[in-house]
Amino acid sequence: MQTTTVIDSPATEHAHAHGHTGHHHTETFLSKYIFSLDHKTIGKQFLIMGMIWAVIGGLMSVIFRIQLGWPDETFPILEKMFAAWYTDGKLNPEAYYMMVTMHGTIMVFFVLTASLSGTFANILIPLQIGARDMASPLMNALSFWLFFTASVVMFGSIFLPTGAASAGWTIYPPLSALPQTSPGSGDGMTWWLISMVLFVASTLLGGLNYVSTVLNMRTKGMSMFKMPLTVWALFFTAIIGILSFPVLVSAVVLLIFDRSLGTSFYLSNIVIGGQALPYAGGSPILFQHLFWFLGHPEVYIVILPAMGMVSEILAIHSRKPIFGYKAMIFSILGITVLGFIVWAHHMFMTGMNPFLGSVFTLFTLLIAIPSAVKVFNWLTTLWRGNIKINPPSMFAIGFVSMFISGGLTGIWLGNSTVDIQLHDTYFVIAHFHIVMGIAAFFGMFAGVYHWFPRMFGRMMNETMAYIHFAITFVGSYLIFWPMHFLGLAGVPRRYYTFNEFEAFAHYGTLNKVISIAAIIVFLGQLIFLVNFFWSIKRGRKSTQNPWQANTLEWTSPIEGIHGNWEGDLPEVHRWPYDYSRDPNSDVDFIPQTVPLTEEEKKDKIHH
Amino acid sequence: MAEVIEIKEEHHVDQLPTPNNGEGGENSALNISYGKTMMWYFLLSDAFTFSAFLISYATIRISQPWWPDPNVVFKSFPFMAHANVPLGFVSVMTFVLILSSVAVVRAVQEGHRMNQKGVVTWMFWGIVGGVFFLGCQAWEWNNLIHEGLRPFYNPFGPNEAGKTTLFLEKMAMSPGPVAFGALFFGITGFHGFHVFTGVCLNVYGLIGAANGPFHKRGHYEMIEKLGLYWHFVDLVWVFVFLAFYLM
Amino acid sequence: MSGHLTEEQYKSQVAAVWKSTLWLSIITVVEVVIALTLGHLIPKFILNLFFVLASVLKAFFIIAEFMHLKYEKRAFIISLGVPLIFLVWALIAFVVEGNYWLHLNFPK
Ligand code: HEM
Ligand SMILES: [Cu+2]
Repeated sequence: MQTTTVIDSPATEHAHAHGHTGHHHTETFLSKYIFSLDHKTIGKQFLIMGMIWAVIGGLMSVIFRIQLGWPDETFPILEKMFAAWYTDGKLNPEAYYMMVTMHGTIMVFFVLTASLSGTFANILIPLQIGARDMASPLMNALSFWLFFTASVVMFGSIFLPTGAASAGWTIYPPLSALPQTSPGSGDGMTWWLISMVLFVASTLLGGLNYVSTVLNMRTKGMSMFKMPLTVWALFFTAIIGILSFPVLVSAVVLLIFDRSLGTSFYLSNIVIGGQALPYAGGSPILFQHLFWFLGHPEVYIVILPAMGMVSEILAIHSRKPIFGYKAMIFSILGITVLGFIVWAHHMFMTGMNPFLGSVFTLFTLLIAIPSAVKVFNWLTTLWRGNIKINPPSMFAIGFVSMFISGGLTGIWLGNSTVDIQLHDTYFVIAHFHIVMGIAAFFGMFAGVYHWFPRMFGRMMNETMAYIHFAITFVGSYLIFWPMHFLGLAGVPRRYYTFNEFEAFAHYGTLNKVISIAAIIVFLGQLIFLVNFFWSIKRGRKSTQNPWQANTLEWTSPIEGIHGNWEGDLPEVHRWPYDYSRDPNSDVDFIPQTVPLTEEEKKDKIHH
Repeated sequence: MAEVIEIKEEHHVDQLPTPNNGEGGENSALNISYGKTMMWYFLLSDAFTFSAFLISYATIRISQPWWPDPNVVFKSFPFMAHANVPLGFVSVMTFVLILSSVAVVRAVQEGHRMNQKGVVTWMFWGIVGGVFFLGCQAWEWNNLIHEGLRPFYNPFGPNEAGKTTLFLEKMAMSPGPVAFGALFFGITGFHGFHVFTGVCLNVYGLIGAANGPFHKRGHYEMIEKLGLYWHFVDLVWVFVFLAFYLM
Repeated sequence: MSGHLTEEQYKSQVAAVWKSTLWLSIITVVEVVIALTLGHLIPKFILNLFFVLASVLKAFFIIAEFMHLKYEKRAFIISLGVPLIFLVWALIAFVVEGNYWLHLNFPK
């Protein structure tokens, strides 16, 4: 540990606070890139893991989209590649369910939770609040390695003889509780549960670290209300995680008991193959309540970091102060609070108490308010701005578009009466992929394009980035927009094939179109990957502050050094959004480290 | 009150281990060290885990037409074979856990005075209390298992075992609601697991206090953090006690 | 670092802790006695309400005095207290559901 980094802990840091960058510690490859305690390296590790997972998860979606697009064709090539999952050139139904389950689990938890927060909280929190590292670098590294272990377990489960879990990413019992119900409910489910417990431990370690870093490690002058919105968003994301994931642990522990100790928490009145099982008195709906108590906050864990980054990026690239800084913060707070009291809107159709359902409808519709505040503020930030067209700004604008399109359908679904028709159809798939999946990916891409120079000291290639953007933006709408119509017509989700259904026969072509778009979008992401790795080595060298931004991360040497700043930490004097303040000046930004002028001091409104 | 607050100011300003690495950053927003912040929010998180269990308990219990009377289930006492002492034993357990918590508070207070010997002594008593509690719990589990309670079988009930059929003829094969045993073992087990962890952590604290590394740091914050965890275990017991023994 | 506390302050703190201990013990004893004696006399609902309130009071002593929260900054206390509202709502919603299942499964 001593050799890896100068900063073992805040306490020892004190001793080397000054001029420590001059030290040269012997660093091996292992200590520098693998078991590093430096927050910037850990952030990159999260990013790389996320990319690997996204490719795996994306590939799975391609496989099941091929099944849905061409249910009658055979694919000998695919059988050659994935022999275990195909018979006679056709995807096995069990493999199909495994694919959708793994796709959901991987994308929601591993990519958009662990990797998205992990990457940007690690890289941005210390750099943007002016800290030398996280409060506890060791716990931070541990968080990554627990995530890594969880990943290994989840990935390993795919190769079990009975396959990985296949009860859907929401693993509802009784399907998930009884091994005899499907192959995936055997060992695969056990591994899923173990992986998830490790995953929660990782999230908890990370989250506690982010929260205490934000609360305790800010540099001089960086009061809470001078923090960039990225930090605010990541801060609340961490809080949501701290409060909601433990409930998933409880749900999972009770499920494990049902699976292995013969308890009946979630089970009652079950007959399989004519044989009555001895479970009595439990309720599968209890599991759904517990799961969604995590599950709904979880969707905000996914979207808040993207929202924070987009707020920051839109302000910078439209060269305008963010519109409604405090409104943005309080709407994040509002979303956080409301996010915890609406979970049962996923359960209107389970046979829950309808009166309770109407209360949940009311709370659910309230979330539209803080969400709309944010959308309004993004649009007004862009309004009459001096918008710079570049990859981060394109993706940030794309995010806003996606969030609006997907958020509006949320309001439909939030009405319990409308949900009777739409629940468990492709309408829901369209809703949450647009508002959560694609939007969060757009936020992530915006973040990567924007902070790539901060991470690697080089710029990404713009041409490739624009092609990537065009394919992803158009392609995503092509995939998910038609799904609204499928859903309105009643086409149910999680079906292996629609061949048997007269009513859905004429949607065959539409399903093909969707599948083709999905494959193209998947291939489009390879452009991003090529760009990413090519630019790490060959990208144009970045200047110290390539986007002319105000925040502190651009004052720390762009090469990235341990401890982030040579000599003293920077001192903060103003909020991060002083763009285009003085129309007569040729610099249109004032970094946070620039002291207030005498005039500004008199002007009380200013930050 | 006024003077107590006074103390707090002093102790915090000095003991706050170096916000922002001791480089004179902004003060901690909540005026509490990062280590204790983490411990507190971890406990908040853990409180959600426990609450999820206890809320599940409440949900399942209220959905059953009948529930065993704690005064009947929990009436045995060690070394008194046929005694009928409802809630007697668990009251002793509860009291021991409270006293153990008090001992650790005392250790923390001695830590503020940098009184090494006091810290060690009180930590020792705290550990003794914890171990005693675990022993009691083992005895109680053993006793209930002897009486036939299982995670999937509950002998305390109005029905005749094996007579009832499945489905809405309620309660499967056992006389009482099966959930009772599952919830009892599950929740007290999870609590016991926390007590066990707490005892291990306290032993670590005891060693650190006795051998002097904490003393050399100039503060006993580690004991404070362990203490927070230990009191939390006590706190959870208040609600476990409420759920299983009182209501 | 030692000696922040004057002897007097120390003593008053120690006394505060023992006082809380006494309260905790008294409440527990009262709870148990009531459970044993009045169990069948008072309506179940009122009895349970009393137990819940007594437990919350015990929790208050542990958190405020033993965990020293009473002496922390107000904002910190709020940051820990507000999330508990979610648990209260969860409890209400879950119990309403449980009660509903009872009526579904055992219609009168
Ligand atoms: C105005 C705001 C929103 C409302 C009123 C809303 C409402 C709903 C409702 C009622 C459902 C359940 C539909 C059903 O299964 O029948 C749902 C599903 C879902 N929503 Fe939203 N939503 C909103 C925003 C969001 C956001 C911002 C995200 C994520 C960032 C999100 C992610 C999801 C996910 C992942 C599901 C489906 C989970 C599944 O069943 O697999 N929603 N939404
Ligand atoms: Cu939701």
